[in-house]
Amino acid sequence: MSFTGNPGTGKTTLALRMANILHRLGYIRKGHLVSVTRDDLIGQYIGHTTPKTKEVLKRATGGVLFIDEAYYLSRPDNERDYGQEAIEILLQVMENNREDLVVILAGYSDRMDQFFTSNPGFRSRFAHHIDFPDYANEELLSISENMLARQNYHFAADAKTVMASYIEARRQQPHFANARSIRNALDRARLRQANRLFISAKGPLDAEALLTIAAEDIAASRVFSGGIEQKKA
Amino acid sequence: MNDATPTSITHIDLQAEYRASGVADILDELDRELIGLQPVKQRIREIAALLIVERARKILASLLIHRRFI
Repeated sequence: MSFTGNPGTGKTTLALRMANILHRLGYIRKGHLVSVTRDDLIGQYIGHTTPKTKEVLKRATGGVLFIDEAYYLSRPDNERDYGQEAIEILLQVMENNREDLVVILAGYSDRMDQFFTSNPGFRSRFAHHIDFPDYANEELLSISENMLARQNYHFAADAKTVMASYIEARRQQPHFANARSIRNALDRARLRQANRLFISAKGPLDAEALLTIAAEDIAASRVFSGGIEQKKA
Repeated sequence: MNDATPTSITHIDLQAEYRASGVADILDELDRELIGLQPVKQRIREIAALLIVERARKILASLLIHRRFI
């Protein structure tokens, strides 16, 4: 299977559920998910890649091997890269172990297309391709409320409006990663809330104060003051 | 299907298989817990249906072969 789409669109979450479905139907024995990237499969020196890849495959047998950003396995511009070695082992094991191992390749849609074009052996072995669309702003706002609720928080009425503006602004900035960006934003909002309470509390706090994310906890984000720095999602 | 002895099976109820496997619960949970992603959820349902049909086909095919030899 291949799952394509931008970061934070739910590919890993759905891979977990897919592993569960395959297990319930008896296609794989254990139903666990082993999630890896290039560095988990490919060594830096000659002779390192084969044992590394085989070890990962051993761990994944009976379950689902999820290779995120799978196109990084292949670096056709570098003759001394060991990616091809890993690819050949993967193809061989996928062929011989079809009954007890499911491989999901994941990554950006356009790069996965290029990867399949330069590795036709892979394309022919993947029957199911699922494209994950970006979330709409309203969906991300609902996701943010759900994420907060799962951690026993909620937005103050005006904070929800600020969060909606945050999502709109964040989407225009670098390294936007859908639901993952929302999770990171809420982590920072919780930090700000804790600091705000710590500094401003004059006495014991009630549950409502502890559970509420205020508008200012969101509004203090760098997203509203000229954008976030690079490499932050 | 569970009540019958293996060689007496001639039909498989796909809906019953779907419910008994627990896949229905996983898909319902997906619908409940994940916001949006409608086309993805639909594809997962289609793949699950294919997997259930494939499994039923395998069971019936193997029984057919088995019966030919008894």
